[in-house]
Amino acid sequence: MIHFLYKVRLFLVLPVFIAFVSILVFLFCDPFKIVRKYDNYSGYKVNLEYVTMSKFDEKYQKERYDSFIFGSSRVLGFRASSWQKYLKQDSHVYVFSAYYENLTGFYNKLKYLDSLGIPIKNSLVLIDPDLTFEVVDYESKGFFAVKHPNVSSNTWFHFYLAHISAYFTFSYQKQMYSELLGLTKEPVQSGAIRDIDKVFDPLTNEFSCPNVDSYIEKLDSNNYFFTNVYRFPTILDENIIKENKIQPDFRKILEEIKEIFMKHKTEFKIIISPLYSQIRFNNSDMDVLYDIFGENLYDFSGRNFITVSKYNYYEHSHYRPHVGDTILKLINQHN
Amino acid sequence: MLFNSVSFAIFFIFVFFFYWFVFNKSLKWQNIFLAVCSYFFYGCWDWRFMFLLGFSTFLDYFSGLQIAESKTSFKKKFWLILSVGINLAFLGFFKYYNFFVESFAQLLLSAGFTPHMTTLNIILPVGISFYTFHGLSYVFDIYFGKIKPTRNWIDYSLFVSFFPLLVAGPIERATHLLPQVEKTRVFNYSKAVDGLRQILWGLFKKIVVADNCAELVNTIFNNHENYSGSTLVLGAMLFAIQIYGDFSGYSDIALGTARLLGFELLQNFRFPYFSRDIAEFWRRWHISLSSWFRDYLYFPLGGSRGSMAKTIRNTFVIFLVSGFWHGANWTFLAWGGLNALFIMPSIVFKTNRKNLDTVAEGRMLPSVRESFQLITTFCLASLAWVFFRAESITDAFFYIKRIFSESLFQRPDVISGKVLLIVVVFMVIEWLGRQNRYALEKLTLKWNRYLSWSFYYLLILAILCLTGSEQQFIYFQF
Repeated sequence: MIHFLYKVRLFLVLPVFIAFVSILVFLFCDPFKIVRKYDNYSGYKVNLEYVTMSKFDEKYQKERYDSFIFGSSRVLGFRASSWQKYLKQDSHVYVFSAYYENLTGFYNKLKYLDSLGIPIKNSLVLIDPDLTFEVVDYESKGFFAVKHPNVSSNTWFHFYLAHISAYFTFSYQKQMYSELLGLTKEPVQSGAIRDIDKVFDPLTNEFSCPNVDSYIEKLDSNNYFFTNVYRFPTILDENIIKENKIQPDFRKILEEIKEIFMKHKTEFKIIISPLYSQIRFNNSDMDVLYDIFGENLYDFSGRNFITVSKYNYYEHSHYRPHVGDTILKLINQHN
Repeated sequence: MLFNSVSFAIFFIFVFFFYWFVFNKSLKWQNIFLAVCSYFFYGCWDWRFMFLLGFSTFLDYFSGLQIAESKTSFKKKFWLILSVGINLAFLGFFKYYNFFVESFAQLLLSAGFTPHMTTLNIILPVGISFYTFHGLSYVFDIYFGKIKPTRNWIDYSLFVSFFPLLVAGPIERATHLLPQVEKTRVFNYSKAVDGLRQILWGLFKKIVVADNCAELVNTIFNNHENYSGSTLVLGAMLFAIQIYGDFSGYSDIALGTARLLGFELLQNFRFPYFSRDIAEFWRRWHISLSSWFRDYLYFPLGGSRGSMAKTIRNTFVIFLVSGFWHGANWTFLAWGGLNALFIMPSIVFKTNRKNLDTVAEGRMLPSVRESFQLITTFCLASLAWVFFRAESITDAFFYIKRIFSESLFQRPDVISGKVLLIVVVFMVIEWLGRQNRYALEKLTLKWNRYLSWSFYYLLILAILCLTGSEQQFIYFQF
């Protein structure tokens, strides 16, 4: 046994040394911006929820945020400044976003705000028919989707470990060097926007991609959409989800969300995202949502004037900010 | 707690040290400790199912004693039927209830009735098929007089719940594992090193091979209607590699872990893709399940001793039951049925026991004839895997139909150089080690330490840097 342990120890000397050096490199380079605090996270491959939560924790006392947008990376379609126009002048907007955000993620953030005693005067909630009521395995999505420990059951150890492991994977290194060497020229790669083109507003955390917008505008827009045709698969028909997505557990969470809004007397609007796939909930799920949120629910999913046009999208997953502007105008006219 | 997780590594280091350094003086305490750790391991998935495991263990333990003590064959049979009946009832309820309800409703619907049936939101207890079969083999062996029942509850609990094999096998036999549980275990240096080596190879198979294939396989199978025939062929073949890497990787980790604790588990895989016909493939794939069905179903049904018609019937029965064991879906039944069809020529012409040795034994490369046989067997196995992987029978037929179209001769739409390189390296190493229990067993023995350690470091580096996105083991759902 002693001999065995001695050999194991000997064998592990090199890996432990390399791991130690690697961790030092990680701490020094801080590739995902999670080791030190930064004023600006724009242009880096970051965990969206980490950026959202750490900036919020840093600034909420000073900025006195009271109006919040909640959603997945599709908040890209909503500008804080556009929403601000429809709010009282002294409102302070903050955008909460996270990759693959589902209902539990949004609920945990709302509870977090409530536990801090922050007033929630206005709220805009984006529901994605293909995501919000899914049980997401965040671990398998990648480090950028690992949940922030303040709004999940994750520990900081787990959070950092996931990031460190991701940094040393072949796929990350390959992508990093491709971007550094300028081998990825187009701002939209593999159906997603390049990290170096992502911009976060330091105050509102509005998430946008001005470079991509100007790229699209500079070129003849037909040209962009023509050359990127594979990002826009042909949608033949409206895509109604057959099975009921809102299970009893989710319904309970939805009711608790409404209770928090009632408690804070929040002016809230729930928007069902207009997705390019024209996916929409079935009638049973829609009934549940209407039953709970009533006239605060605005459905832009399925086949409609937004979803039939690819010009409203960066790629099949994310809609562009002018769509958000249109939606905001419509729902505020409605009132 | 997955075998490929940090939490399992920490758990196992804890178990190893307490087992060999704290409880090493007493076999009884070693067994109690391992049983408690096994229940903890199982409870990490869902603590509620620990009671189910406990009940199943108690039922088989008690039935075993009653069978042995019964004076009449009627009483023996009664306890056997009771144990088998309750075990299968649990398995049936958790695994097949919704399937039967839905299938029956579908049948009524097609007959013009409007059924009002409700399915239940049932969570499948992880490993239930495996530990139920452990327990059943124990009761059968006592009934058939192969073993005497143990009177030590702890030993029996450990036999059923031993954590390396609890959730995805190998399906152990009481005749093999129980004597090891009852005997004092001594630490053996070379076995422990061998165990570590097998764990390393298992992790490589799972994390590097299977998980990287999974990314491509999922893309292809989830959008198969958009891909060319050649891409679908690639998808089917990669799934064959994925499921092998995934399941045999799991088995390697289980065997290696058990060996570090002084146990030898049954070999579950013997390089199945180096088989020259489907009969040989089935002697090399998921051996513990195949032999279980052979001993407790095929032989009692008469095996190959009766007429040819009876042999064919028995062969179909075990393949269909084996397919159904995997899950409540018609796709698994079709997979079993298709394999039965593939094996039929060798049953009819009595050539099923022709290839009992290792292919190209003592040679570096196979002959042209052997190569042709290997490729044919792999293609047939891959074709059957399409049913295993597809969401429905319709999907599987659509997938296969699309393969045999003009687009079969196009360049595949989805190709990953990384994945293809991994698969080639993996298959070469497997080929070099095909005469051993696992590929790495003797591969590095003749190398000097620097070379062999460099090779292990390279494997570790690959495991850390070439991680695929999939994490769950496929066979956990069974």
